[in-house]
Amino acid sequence: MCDKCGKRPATTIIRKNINGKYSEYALCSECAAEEQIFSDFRELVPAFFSLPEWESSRETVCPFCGATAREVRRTGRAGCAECYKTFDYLFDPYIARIHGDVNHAGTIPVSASEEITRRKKIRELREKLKEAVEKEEYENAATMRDELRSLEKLENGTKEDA
Amino acid sequence: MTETYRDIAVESRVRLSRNLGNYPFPARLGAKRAEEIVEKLKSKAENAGLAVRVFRDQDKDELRALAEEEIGSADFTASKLPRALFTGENVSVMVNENDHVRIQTVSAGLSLEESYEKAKEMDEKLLGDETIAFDERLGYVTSSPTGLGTALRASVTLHLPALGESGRIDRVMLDADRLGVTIRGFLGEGSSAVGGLYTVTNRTTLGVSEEEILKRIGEVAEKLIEKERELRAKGLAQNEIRLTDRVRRAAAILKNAYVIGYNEAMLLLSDYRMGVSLGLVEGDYAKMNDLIRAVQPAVVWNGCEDKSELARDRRRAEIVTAALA
Repeated sequence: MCDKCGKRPATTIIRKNINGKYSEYALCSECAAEEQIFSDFRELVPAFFSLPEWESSRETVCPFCGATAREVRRTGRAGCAECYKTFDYLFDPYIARIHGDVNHAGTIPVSASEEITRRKKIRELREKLKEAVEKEEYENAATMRDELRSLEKLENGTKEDA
Repeated sequence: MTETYRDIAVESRVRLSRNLGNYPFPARLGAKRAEEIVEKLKSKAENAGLAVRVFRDQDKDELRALAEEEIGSADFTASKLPRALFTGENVSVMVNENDHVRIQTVSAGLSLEESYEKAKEMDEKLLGDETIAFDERLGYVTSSPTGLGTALRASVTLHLPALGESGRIDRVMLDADRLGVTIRGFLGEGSSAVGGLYTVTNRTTLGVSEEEILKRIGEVAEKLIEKERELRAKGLAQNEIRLTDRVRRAAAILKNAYVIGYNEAMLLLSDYRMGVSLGLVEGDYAKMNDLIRAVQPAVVWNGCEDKSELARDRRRAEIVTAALA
């Protein structure tokens, strides 16, 4: 909500420099326009993310790094990896806009958990298996199928444990 | 070895961003933990044969020059945190820029795979036994959502004076954008690039594999190279005398100037480079590529005692004439 009128959704962050101290206000477009007429010491920057209407309190804080929703909106950046979960309502639509509605498809670090590594391996094996069958390389496919089965068994095992 | 198109492709770069798990990103890191990360990675860099420099107090002039050479960056210059720069042959690593680690490799011509292999190797050497910030859905987690996924930026710098002058580059830019590929003027300048230099780079990093990114950039680069060669050949066929005169004059001025400004130097280098590719003058691509960096404003400025404009342009002429002598 707009910090000034409290009625319309905020769309613009106004940064004011008063005696060298910066303070920020999230305003709706009408109040922002008014602000621009009456104040001399302001910088008009479009909000990186528009505010969802339900977010009336601006108190959301990342439990790991202490970044606030306001900071994230202003900079367009995360303060830590956890921020992407804490502020998923800000980041997810933005990520989809840049990259499309997609998941990671590249390499994974050595330090990634066993489960992540295994699931990647399973996905890759499924692809390769499909290819092998299409090319009628049945011997190859059989080996892959066995490997896939044992990996899937492990994967289902961990799911049941959880 | 595949063709690297050195007549038109200046260089290929790969940048990999990585963050350590269990630490906030640099923006929320604080000096103490920033120092901790620098310390942690310093010895590994030394073991990998890299030169280590730690920045605490700012030497802004030098950092600005490093930014123009694309070893540092504007954000690295502006940062107040303890941070480090590791450098080796065709590789540089920024510690505590926007992400904890940014590995950058460069190779001549169109050779993205070569650069990527080197970056990957450095990633393993520096971070192989560290816990890396990674998410199954988002991939390598970076401070900016624009770099998530592979956290890989691949870029090729191309010399496209004929395409630029023909005005067709704007349409190509739009087409490339649809493939998630950005073409922009060299060093971030707009569509009217100084000296006909353009950089082709991937806009998207999530949902595509490293190999796909390299392939896509390579393909767009090859199309541009083909088009540029075509236009040059046509220009040569129509205007050989004028074109020969133009590139010979460029070479002559570069080799003899006593004072030279940045824009003039870039334009003449562009003509000279094109002349070499068309066989109209003699010249060495590697030397010309180095000069593109060496004539940049802050690079010249950094090596200059007297900071007047005239002294700077005099210094630039010295650099150019010495390199081409």
